[in-house]
Parts: sequence; structure tokens; C-alpha cells
Amino acid sequence: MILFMMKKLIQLLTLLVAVSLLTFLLISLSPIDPVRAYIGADMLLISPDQREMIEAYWGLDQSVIIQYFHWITSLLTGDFGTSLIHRVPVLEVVSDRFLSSFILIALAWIASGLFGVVLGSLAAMKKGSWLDNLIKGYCYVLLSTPGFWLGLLLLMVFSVWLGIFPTGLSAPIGVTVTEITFTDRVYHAVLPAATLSIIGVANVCLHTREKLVDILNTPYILQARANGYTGYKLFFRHGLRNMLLPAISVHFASFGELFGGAILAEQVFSYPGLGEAIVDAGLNGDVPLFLAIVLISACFVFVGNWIADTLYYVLDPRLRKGGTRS
Amino acid sequence: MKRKWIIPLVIFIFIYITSFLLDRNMIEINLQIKNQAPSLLHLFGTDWLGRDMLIRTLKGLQLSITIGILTAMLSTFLGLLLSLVSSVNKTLDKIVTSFIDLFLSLPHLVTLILITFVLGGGLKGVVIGLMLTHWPAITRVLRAEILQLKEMPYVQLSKQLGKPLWWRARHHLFPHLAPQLLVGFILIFPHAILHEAAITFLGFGLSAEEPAIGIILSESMQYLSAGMWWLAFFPGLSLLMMIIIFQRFANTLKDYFGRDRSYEQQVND
Amino acid sequence: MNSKLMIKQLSVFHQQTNRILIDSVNLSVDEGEVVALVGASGSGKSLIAQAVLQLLPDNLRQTGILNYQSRPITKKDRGQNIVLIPQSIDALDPLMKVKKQIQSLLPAPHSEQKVFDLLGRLGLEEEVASRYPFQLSGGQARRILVAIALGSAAKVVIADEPTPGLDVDSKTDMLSLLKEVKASGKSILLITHDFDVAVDLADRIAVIKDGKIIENTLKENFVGKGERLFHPYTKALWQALPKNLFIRSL
Repeated sequence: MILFMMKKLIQLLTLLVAVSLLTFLLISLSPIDPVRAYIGADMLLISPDQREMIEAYWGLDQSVIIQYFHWITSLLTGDFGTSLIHRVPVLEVVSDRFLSSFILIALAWIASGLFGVVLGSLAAMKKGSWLDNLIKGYCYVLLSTPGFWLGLLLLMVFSVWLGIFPTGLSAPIGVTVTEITFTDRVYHAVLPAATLSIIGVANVCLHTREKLVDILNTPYILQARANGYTGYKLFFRHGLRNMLLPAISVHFASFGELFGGAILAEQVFSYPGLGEAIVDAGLNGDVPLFLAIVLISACFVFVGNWIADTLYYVLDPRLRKGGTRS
Repeated sequence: MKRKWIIPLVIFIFIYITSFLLDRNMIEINLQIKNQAPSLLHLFGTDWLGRDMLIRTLKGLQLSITIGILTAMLSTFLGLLLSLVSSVNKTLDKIVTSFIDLFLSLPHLVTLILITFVLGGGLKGVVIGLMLTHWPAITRVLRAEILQLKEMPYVQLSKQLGKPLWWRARHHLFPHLAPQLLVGFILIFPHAILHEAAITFLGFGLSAEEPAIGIILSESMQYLSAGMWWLAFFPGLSLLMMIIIFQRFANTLKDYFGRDRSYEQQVND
Repeated sequence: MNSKLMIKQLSVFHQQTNRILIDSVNLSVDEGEVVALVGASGSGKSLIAQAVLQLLPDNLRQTGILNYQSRPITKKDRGQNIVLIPQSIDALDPLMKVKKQIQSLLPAPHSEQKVFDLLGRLGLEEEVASRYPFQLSGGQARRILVAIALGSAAKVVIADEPTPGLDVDSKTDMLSLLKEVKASGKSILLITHDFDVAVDLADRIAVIKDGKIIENTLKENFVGKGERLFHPYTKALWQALPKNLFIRSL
């Protein structure tokens, strides 16, 4: 188990180095001018000499590889640089927004997981019925739905027409960031989270359904039926037990998609999370902030996959006790 | 069974072709009819410049389809190329698989933002970005397929007879890979369209002058609070319909090329 | 006659193609009796087990009369009055401990001791109860499947191909387990392709071929060259047994 953890940790580190290197190289090849991005409209007021000084100050006159090493070493000391648009350390921008995004994604993850497993189980238990067809159809439509468009619809219905939820910002206007209560954050996260989970249900639901349909065709289910178990008794005794682990595992592995969805949802609802920050950073050439969020998203995906793998080791007796997964 | 996908496909091709007949100039500014709700004259309503939303939507769909076809073709080709490269030897295979892992380690949309950000957006940025984000899945499928084929006795025999790699690829691999390529292409297509719309919506994609669905939807956000729901509703719905048609088409094709499921459920005696 | 299980005019056919898989089968099992249903693979013998328990796959339909103690079999009889000893040891839920799989199927009260007693009766240690199926040997798993049938209140046991491809030792083992079930007074419908298993265990043997019963006779009739047998196919089966091979050469 410890060996497994160590292996995963090394994997994560290699991955982060690879992602950071690739991203860094790509960005250094791009036409984005960090000086221009920093100075903004005052660019005309700056003399070429001053410009050179700024470049030297940032180390922009050195080769890309050296710049990369500078960046990496400062990352290791916990210095992510200063955000060009927010004019504060990147870590500060990120840590505040991380919590917002985390709440949003956690809400969406739980809701879509819950509904997905329930709907998927219903569909599988009633395979071939109108209910199954309805649930399957619903999932297929959702898979084709642009998430941000769904967000726009929810925004129109709940915020504009019904006025139940705010149209933007994760804090009420006139309240400083420090005064935001947890409830405020959650309240503002409801609509974006709803958008994310309505879309996210499809994936879990279809997976659950497929898995459970497979399980219902196994010899042990036939035997359980022969022993008199049917309907919900059968489901709770044998179905749920065998289906839950794969379903949760798949759901953890969908962290990446959720993060992508969160970017769009945050944009639609002007919800100040990491997604909105990366879009802002990208549009305004804020490279330090951009890089930081790219790395965070990589960690995020990794953690999701890692949990998905580890769950089997912890929960499946066949792997836990040193057997093999059949 | 056939009718299930032929009819939507015909409708879809019809819309695509008619959208070519619509001139760009038909999206003209006419302030006298601005902000009109949907009516018989303007089925999808008009925007704040009096442009007909139906024509804008059709033009947007046309652009989406074109980009979708282009990027799906490019990524399928890239996937084929990389899977062939990985089949040459162990080292190359290792390199290709680690690239796949690398690309899958970031959320799709983040990679897309990264690439369009680096390339500075626009049509070129979007197409390259979509190409570079959609190849891993198909490369994986093709790679696995090739690995299996390579072990086949008749392929091994060709190798021992000294046939060059290209010859083996052309005669042994392509006939098997062709259906996979077609299915892969059609599966990527709706994804690419959705991602194009998303990235354009975020502002990294096509420029604001293009009649893209993503642009229409991001513009509509400013007018939603004024109650102009049709600006967002119909264009998005049209996009959704088009993608559903293609998903269905892709699934039907996948089943057709896949094993016939009815044979799997054999009755045990 | 006091038939525990009676099958009358049972037919099974494909819903779409109407192809007949089981054709008007009649069979009955009396109290304490072991009836063997012998057939090659593809003869449709396992469908009869599924039909009796009304567990046929969705695409099959069944007609005919199925009685338990002279009344129609219902789904409530499953596990209560009729139990199935399945063909494969995959019939144990891979994520459930042995104890739980057995316990709730035994008649109340569901005490732990009962499970241990049952395991002991079949030569298994108490410790086996706290294992998962993947930790069992094939022999242990088969014992547990028999244990469930033995311990249940059911009076009728359907053993569906209990010796699929087993080696000689395992087969002998299984036979002694089934004899234990027989000794407990339960009626057994033994479905098998193994003619010697049938001859060893059964009181009466029915032979099924292409969905039809072609022979249904007492075991006593399996003597000599098989002169007392009705159907040439049955005779051939009987003469093909290793111990009878010399007869043919006479």
C-alpha cells in the first residue's frame, strides 16, 4: 500500500514537471508580450530602455530553459509570482478562488453522483421499460447539450424571470470578501452547480446503468433470483454492493470534465472561481496566474484518477486481500 | 432501422447546403426591426441591431459544421499517424503513450484554452487547438487495434518475408482500421463542435465578427437581463439538435461496425 | 401419487422466431426421489430448470403446467420450497461474505451457530464463513452452494449440471455431497450430461434429446446390454459407459 502511494506520488511529480515544461515552452513560443500585458494602456509611455530594464528584472532576456528553471525553483519555495491583472501574489488570487471553485465542484459532484446512481439503477432494474427509455433519452440529450447554454437558460429562468438567485458574483454587493459567510458562497454556487450537475448526471447514470445491467446478467444474480430475491430486495442485497464501487470510481475519474464544465459555468454566472480566473488570465495575458491554474487543474485531474484507483484497493476485498479483480 | 438515421441526416445536409446559399450580407443591420421577439417574419427573432437570428444561427451552424469536419478529419489523421508511429518499436510506443497520458492529464477545456491562448485565437487557433485535444482517444483505440493485428500470424509472416512497414500498413492494417477511422471521425465531430462553441463563447476562439454560435451566445448574455431570451434559446437549441443528430448517427454506425449484440446473448442450454 | 414436483406438457420457445426449444415435456419427482434428466449439451435440459423456477431469459416463453405438491408453482416458492444448486461457482456474490450468503437463506432463527453446524456437516471449518468467495477453493465453493440447498427449508432441490467438467476426485466429492442431500429426505431433480453420475445417484432416469424426453425409466432397467431400454439413443448411452464397454465387444 505504501509502495502504491509512493509510486503514485512519483507519477504525480513527473506529470507536473512534464505539464509545466510543456505549458511553459508553449507560452514562451506564443506572441504574448508579458511586458505589454503588465503595463497595459501605458505601454506608449515607456521608453525602450525602461522596457529592457523590466525585461531584465523579470529575467526575460535569458533563455527559455533558464527562465523555466527560475520559475520552477521559485514554485518550490512557494512563490508563484505576481498576477499581472490582480497585482497581488498569484497564491493569494488562487487560494481565495480555489475555495469558491471547490464548493461549486463539490456540490455538483455530489448532486450528479447521487442522481446519476439513482437514475441509472432505476433504468437498469427496469431495463426495456418506458422509464428506462426516458432516462436513457434524457442522458443522451444531456450529452449533446452545450453546458454553457444550459447555464444561460437557468440564468434566464431563475435569475431574470423568477429572481430567486443572484445573476452573478459569489458575494452580495457591498460586502467585503472577508465578510462572506459560507452560506453566501453556497447560495451563489447553487445555479452554477445545478448547471454542472444536470449535465454531469448523464455520464454517471449511463455508466451505472450499463454496469448494473451487466451485473444483472451474472450467475450470482440468477442464483439470487432462484433463492427468491426480486425487485428492490435483490437490488439492495446484490446489485448495489457490486455496482457502487465502479460507479463511484468512474465519477471520481470525471473530475477533469467537471473542471472544464466549471470554467464555462463560472463564466456564465460570473462566479469568481478558478475557471473565471483562468479565462481572465488567458484573455489578458496574465501568464503567472494562467500557469498556476493549469498546474492546479492537472493536480485536480490526477487526484480524481488517483482516488478512483485507490478506492478499489481500499474497498474491494478482492484487491484489498491481495487477490485479483475478476 | 436505416430510417432512424437517414432522415435526420438528410435534414442536416439540407440545412448545411442551404446555409451556403444564404449570403453573409443577408445578416444586415436594420435598426428599425431591432429587439423583436420571434414572429412569423423572424422565426428566431431579431437582435439589438435588427439582424435576423434565424439567418445568423444558420450561418453559425454552417461555420460549426465546417470546423467540425475539418478538425475531426485532422485529429483522426493525427491519431492514425501517431498510432502507426507507436507501432514501429517500443521506444516510439512509449513516447506516444506518454504524450497521450500528458494530454489526458489536463481537463480538455484547459488544454484547449492553453493552445488557443498560445496561438492567439482565431480560426487557425481553434482548428489547431481542437485537433490537438481530440487525438488521444482515437489514437488509443487505433493503437490497441494495431497491437492486436501485429500479432496476427499473417502479419508476422509478411514481416518475416521482408515486406516493408508501409506495405504491411497498407495491406494488413488499413482494411481493418478503416471502420475504426470512420467511427472515430464521426464520434469526434460533435465533440469538436461543442468545444468550438465553448471556446468561442469564452472569448478564445473565433473573432467577434464571425457568425459563430459561441459568439451569438456570449453576446446574448448582455441582453438576457432585458428579457431577450430568444437570443440565446434558439441558437443553442439548434446547436443541440444538430449534435443529437450526429450522436445518434455515430452510435448507429458504431453498433453497425461493432459486434452484433444479439449474438452475444446466446441461450445457454 | 404424491408428486413433490410435477412438470406437465412444458414447452419453451423463442418469442420472436417461435423456434421450439423444449417440446411438451412431462416429468415428475416424488417425495425423497432422485430423478436424473440426462442430455447432451444443447438438448435444452438447463432450460427446464430455469422454466420450473420461472427464470427463463426475456426472449423465451414457456407454456404448460408446473406443480409443487399439486398446486401451481409461484415465484414465492423460489428458495422457500424449491432451491437450485447452480452449475457454476460464480453463483456466489463476489463481494459478500460466505456467512451472509448462507445465513439469510436458512429458516429462522438466523443464528450464526446454524451456519457453522451446516458447514461442519459438509466438512468445512467455521473460519470459512468469514471469507469472500475469491478466497475459497473450487471444492469449498461447491460445498457452500450445496450447503445452502441442504440447509434451506425447501423440499425440492434442482441440481443444474452440478459436475461441469470436474476431475474424477471433485466429481466423487460432489456425488457424496448430493447423496447427503438425498439422505436428508429432499427430492432432487438432477440435470446432467454425465450419464454415470445419473446412474450412480438417481432412482429414475429421463433422457432428453432435442428438447424431447425420449426415455423415462427406472434405474433398475439399466442392466445388461440395455435390452430393457426403449430408445436406441439411451441404449447407446448406456453401452458407452466405461464399465459397460466390454459388453459391446461380446
